[in-house]
Amino acid sequence: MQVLEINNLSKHYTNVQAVRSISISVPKGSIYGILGPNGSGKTSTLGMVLGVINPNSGSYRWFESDTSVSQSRKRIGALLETPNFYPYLSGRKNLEIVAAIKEVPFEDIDRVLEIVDLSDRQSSKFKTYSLGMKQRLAIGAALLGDPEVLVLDEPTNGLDPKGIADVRTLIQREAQRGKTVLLASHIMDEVEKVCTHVAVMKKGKLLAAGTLAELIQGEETIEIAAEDMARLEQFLGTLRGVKILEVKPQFIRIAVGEELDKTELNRRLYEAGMMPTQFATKKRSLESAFLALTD
Amino acid sequence: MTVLLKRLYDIESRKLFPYRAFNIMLLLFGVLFVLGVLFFSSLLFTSFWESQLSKNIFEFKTNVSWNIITYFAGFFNVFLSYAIMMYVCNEYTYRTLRQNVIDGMNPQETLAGKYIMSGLIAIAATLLVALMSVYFEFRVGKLVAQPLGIQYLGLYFLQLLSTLIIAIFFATWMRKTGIAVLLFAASWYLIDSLLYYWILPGGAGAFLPFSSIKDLVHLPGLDELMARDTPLSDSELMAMTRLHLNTNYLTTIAKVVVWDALFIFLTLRMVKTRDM
Repeated sequence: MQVLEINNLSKHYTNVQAVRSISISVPKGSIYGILGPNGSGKTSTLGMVLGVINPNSGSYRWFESDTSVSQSRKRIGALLETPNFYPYLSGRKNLEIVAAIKEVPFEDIDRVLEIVDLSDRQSSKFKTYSLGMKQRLAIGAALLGDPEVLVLDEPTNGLDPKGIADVRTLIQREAQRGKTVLLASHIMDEVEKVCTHVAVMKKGKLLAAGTLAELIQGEETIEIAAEDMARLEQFLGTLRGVKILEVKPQFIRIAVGEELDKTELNRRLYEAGMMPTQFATKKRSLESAFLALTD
Repeated sequence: MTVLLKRLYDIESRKLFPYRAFNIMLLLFGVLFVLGVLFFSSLLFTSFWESQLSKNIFEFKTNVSWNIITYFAGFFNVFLSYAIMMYVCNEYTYRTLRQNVIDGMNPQETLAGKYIMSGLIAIAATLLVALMSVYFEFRVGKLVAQPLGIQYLGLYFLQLLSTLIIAIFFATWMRKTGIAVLLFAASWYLIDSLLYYWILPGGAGAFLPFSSIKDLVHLPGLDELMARDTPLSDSELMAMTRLHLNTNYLTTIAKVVVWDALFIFLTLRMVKTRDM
């Protein structure tokens, strides 16, 4: 079952095409990461499917159903961009408003306060919270009512290392309980550590989408070094089927295509009179996949 | 329907009741209005004036005392308008309206909540005005004879509610309290009057929204003048024509209701079509 289907969704602001006809399907039970640099259209996309930004074209459907969007949203817990609460109210009073909107019993507030470790500060006004506490309260609000889907836009913003680790654990625990998590982030490590599926966006375009395994499989990367690095770089540049991904003082990272296997590459280097001082095959990381896609 | 109204009231009251700045504005309305009536009464009902007035019992065809109090209360509506604009604009500043929608309200519901609270505020204010009208009538009761003037409360309620509907429109449009209040005040005190007296051709100004709303509760004495058996003098007729005063309440009510519907429609359209 698809929890969310996005079809050719586009958003245009006055001078910017924020989202360009993107289509994504989010399967039930997945942790779906939307990865992209700042300004790539992640938040606009989430804003559209959450009903706070009007798309210029395209459509989306939650839970394979045509019921009203606001009814669907009650099955979704979402944190979009920044934590938005009434500053003059306490953390608990703010959660009471969210619970009233979601029509969730107020007893659930204690549970989520416990999860986000804010039970002790529940009576303090929101305006007195630190950035990390605000973010945790927003995550708590998203968890109210034990929703089927969590939509988290940069959820680790403002959190300390322990807070970041806690959020990762929370996401994984929710997924183990059969929940679906839609996570937007520009932090590749974050996405790679927790996501089962990834969509890569840049300048409003969807560059790739699929399971994490699909995205990082395929061409391996090779870290290669020689005594004369400049000559090595020049030589690699002339080889068909070799794509230079990264040039570092210690090594050059390349991807080799089908035209050229590792043995053949070694032979060519030998024929050119270059003895590699390093020749290490690396499994492709999400980072290299992302760099290859966005290059 | 009742369940929805109750739910919206529950949500909005949780936001509003603890909101200090909003409560201060409501308190300012109540305190200044009540003090104003008491001060006015104390000026009018000195033993000197009472002894002078009681020489003749004045008989009125309309309820002049309720007319005076509801007209007087109209000057204080501005505090309630500012309170409502602050309440709506803050939802944009804090981005909580956007969060309310993310959490499951639809944009129309967020707006309906504001109208419900405005309606309740208008009812509460009208009750206070009714209380002070009764007090004032009791004070003048021994001096004048007049029929019941309950219609003035209805007209005041519509006047206040319509003012708040326009306040919500300005707040939704501008989204920043300072700008919304400035624009509202400029329209209420300046732009409407300029258009009324100098720009629009004779009579057309009376169809402007603020002019129509202000015209709901007539200047005290005007109704009495119209209700007299004796015809109006030439100078009185001229003054009425110059001021474009509309003496037909039903026409004024109809104009105001049309404006209310239009402002609600425009506000709703803004909320539905604009990104949050």
